[in-house]
Amino acid sequence: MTNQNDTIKEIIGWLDESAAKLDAHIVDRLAKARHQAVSVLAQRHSAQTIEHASGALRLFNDYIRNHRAMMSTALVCSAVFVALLLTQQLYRQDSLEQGDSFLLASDLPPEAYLDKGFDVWLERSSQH
Amino acid sequence: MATAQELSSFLAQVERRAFKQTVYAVRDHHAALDIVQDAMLKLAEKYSDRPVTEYPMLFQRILQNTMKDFWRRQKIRNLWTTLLSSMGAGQDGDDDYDPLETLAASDQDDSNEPQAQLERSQTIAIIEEALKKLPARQREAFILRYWEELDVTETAASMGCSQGSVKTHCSRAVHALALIMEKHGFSRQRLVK
Repeated sequence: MTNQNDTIKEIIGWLDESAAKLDAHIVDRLAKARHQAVSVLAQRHSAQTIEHASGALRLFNDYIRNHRAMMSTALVCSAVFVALLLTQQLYRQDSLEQGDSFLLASDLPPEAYLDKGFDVWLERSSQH
Repeated sequence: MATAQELSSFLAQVERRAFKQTVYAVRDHHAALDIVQDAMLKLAEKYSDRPVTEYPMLFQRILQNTMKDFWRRQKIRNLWTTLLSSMGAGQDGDDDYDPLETLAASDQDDSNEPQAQLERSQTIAIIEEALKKLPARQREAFILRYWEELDVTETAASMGCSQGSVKTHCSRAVHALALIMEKHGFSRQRLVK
């Protein structure tokens, strides 16, 4: 067993020596290949950084694209709700205008309608 | 997630061994360089989110798969070459690969080196040739287990086989290497530096 291990060690020793004695042009070519691989890795890293930055936006776009029917329904509902609010607003405006015209046309001053004691006094005086 | 610095230092650590390992498998320096480069790029492209501790096993798995892809392409190319050459006439058959010729050639290249350097180069060449002669799975198991220093579980995961198979492949590889080296006249004293 030891003999076998020694043989293996010796063979590996010779192989290491042969790998160390490679021609300069082969070493150069290997170095170029290594640099190319490293630059590919660097490109991948920078691409991944950009992907992370635009990830949230893309996620939103994807969500909209995948839930198109739901998004249309939500849009229609929002439009109906806004229309309802506007109608209510306009109706309230109309009733305010009517109140104003009533007050202007009345014989009594507007303060009379604000005084709650006036109604009581009017009732009492009409009974007499 | 691994940083660029971590990836760079990991690749710098393994690239030479990966290249040699690929050369033993494909026996072509240019193809081996392409395969290692592909494996490096695939690691950076597909597994950048993994922790750096997983890189050795992942890289080995990618490297093995890239080699398998190479073999598949090579098989198809060879099929077409065989078909086309069988249609042609008067082909000479001297395209057989003889590892001894390669050894002789490399010996001649080192002829100007000092004697010690020459002997070391010869030893390395013989060991590398012995590795190339191993069956692919045995070579893969031997390199992953002993050169890449993966444990049996990691080696099994990387090779896509059971732990028992890894042990068997490794044991057979060591015996085969010892036999091949003995055949080349290596004694224990010669093997030990």
